[in-house]
Amino acid sequence: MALTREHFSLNTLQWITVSLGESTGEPGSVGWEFDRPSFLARQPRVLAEVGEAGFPAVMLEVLPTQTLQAYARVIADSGLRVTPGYVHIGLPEEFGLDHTGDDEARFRWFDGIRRRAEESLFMGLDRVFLAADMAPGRPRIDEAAAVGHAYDAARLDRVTDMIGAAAEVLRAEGVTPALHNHVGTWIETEAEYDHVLDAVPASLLTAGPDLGHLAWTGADVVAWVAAHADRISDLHVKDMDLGIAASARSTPTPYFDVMSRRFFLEPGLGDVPIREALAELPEDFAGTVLVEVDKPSMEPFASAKTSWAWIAENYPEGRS
Amino acid sequence: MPLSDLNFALNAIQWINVKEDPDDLDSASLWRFADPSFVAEYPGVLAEIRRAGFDATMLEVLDTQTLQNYAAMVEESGLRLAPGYVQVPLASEHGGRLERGSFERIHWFDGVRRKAEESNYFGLSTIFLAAEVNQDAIRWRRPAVGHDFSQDRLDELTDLIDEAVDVLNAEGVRPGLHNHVGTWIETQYEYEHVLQAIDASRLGASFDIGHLEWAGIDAKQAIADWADRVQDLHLKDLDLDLARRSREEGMGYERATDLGLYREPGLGQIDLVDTLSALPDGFGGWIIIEVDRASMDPARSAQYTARWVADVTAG
Repeated sequence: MALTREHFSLNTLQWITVSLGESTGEPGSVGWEFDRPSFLARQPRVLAEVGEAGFPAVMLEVLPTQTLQAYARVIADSGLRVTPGYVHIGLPEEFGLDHTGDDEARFRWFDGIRRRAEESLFMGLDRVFLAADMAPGRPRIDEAAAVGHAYDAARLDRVTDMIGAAAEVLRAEGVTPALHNHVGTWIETEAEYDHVLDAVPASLLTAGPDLGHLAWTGADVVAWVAAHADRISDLHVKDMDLGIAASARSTPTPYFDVMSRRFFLEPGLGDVPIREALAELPEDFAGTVLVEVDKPSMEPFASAKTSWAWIAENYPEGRS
Repeated sequence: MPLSDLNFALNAIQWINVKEDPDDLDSASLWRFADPSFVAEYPGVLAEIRRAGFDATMLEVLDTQTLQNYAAMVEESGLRLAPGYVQVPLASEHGGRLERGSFERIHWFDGVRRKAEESNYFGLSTIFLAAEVNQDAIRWRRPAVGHDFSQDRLDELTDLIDEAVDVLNAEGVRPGLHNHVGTWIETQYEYEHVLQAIDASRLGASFDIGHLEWAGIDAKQAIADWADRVQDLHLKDLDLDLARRSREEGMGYERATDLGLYREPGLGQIDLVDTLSALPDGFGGWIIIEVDRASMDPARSAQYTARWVADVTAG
């Protein structure tokens, strides 16, 4: 077994997706606790609980109202390592914009990408997950999730170009992106994911799959990891009730309707063959396996402890 | 104190505040720091500043580059960095006053936090803190005379600056209040009001000599009056006759700039050497020279300015 407990990290979603999907869109009305200035005061406690649960590492997440130095202090106090963060990018057309002939607007479209590169480098990271963006109002969020709804080949090519451009911005800063699939986005199905990976050179873009989101679409995640093992630099893993996923795919179901059910689960409590899929990684895999429980099935700290218990049960201690 | 003991730096503004067509005063005024294409030209400008003879420039991370990208450029240039600059916008000019603790108010200081982050990244513990330059506000058209003063507005601004000071202090950065013509902190009453409202332990005074003189204030006296709080300075020379005319004739900020208000040090009429002599012994702050609009080619302007520094600090 190549993987050890040291490979694992936690995204603190348990604590922060409490009211996701309920935002009215008004300033201050956010369902994402990271975006609430009040979370700043809670962050040290949440990170302490990540460590107390057993995790040695946590995903990079500099809060919007926090400086890099303030974040670095909180991380140092927590004793946790930081593992690669996440950044997404959309198409201007989705926001009613057209950057044709406007080089300045085009350049600034990547401001958020540059910021994440800056955060990563500051914290000593040289990799980041890169995804297509996910916004309320999109057909795959509000109408039908996980079935490749409203597929459009030309749009997928535009998304591919945008991912390629973002990858170039990141590489220029010395950060290598790992393409991330996500239900609700235009890179949702296995075919879409493979299309983008095939179109952008591996030297520019590694693979950073979310095994849960792949499984949600009905993909065979064990086979997928086996087929892409050499390109995977890091992964997200999440467990879920695949029975709910299958029934939600059989009839058009909005993203947050699925999420509102007891769908997302702590690793080991659902049906995603996480262990089997991870077993397909190369023996010398040196990346991060990031655990995510998008909506915990129990109190957040208990959810983190349950997640770690599954890791401890299945993986040996690393070199210490 | 002897001028030879002072730390001088140059703000790259010669290359930044330029006319679209240098031969046409009616062409657009550009602010090249904000232009994404300037990123590629920035190393060349830093090299020119070094070549002119300066060993330091003002911190100015472009909002189109990362800290690491800027750090690489600065290292390549061989320059040291002097404190940066941060502005506080007046909420009531941008949609309405903001309640303390509200989501919008906390985010009002995102730009201030960013400047703290930049300063700390480069090991700088001070910064110039000013009211926002708002070119849509009335003082941009009627500068340097305290036009349209309102105590209520000044109180709102003082409260916002107080919170900005908190944000900076929490990050270990001590700001110095900066006066700027065309903003709501332009007159002696206005900067003194803010300095008196916010404790010296939290906020120093980082005057702009040129903007004091433009507003008709004796810069040497201002430095002497606030000697125990003076932290860093901006230094610029001016055509004082034009400054006076601008006040008397109600000339706009842009017009005064275009007509040649700003001068390389020594080419205007401010007695800069005498002004700096008011600095207290042991002053360890920065003197950042600004030529807001060069009267000659930017590189020559920087060279001229560097020669002035060499002259006044000699012997």
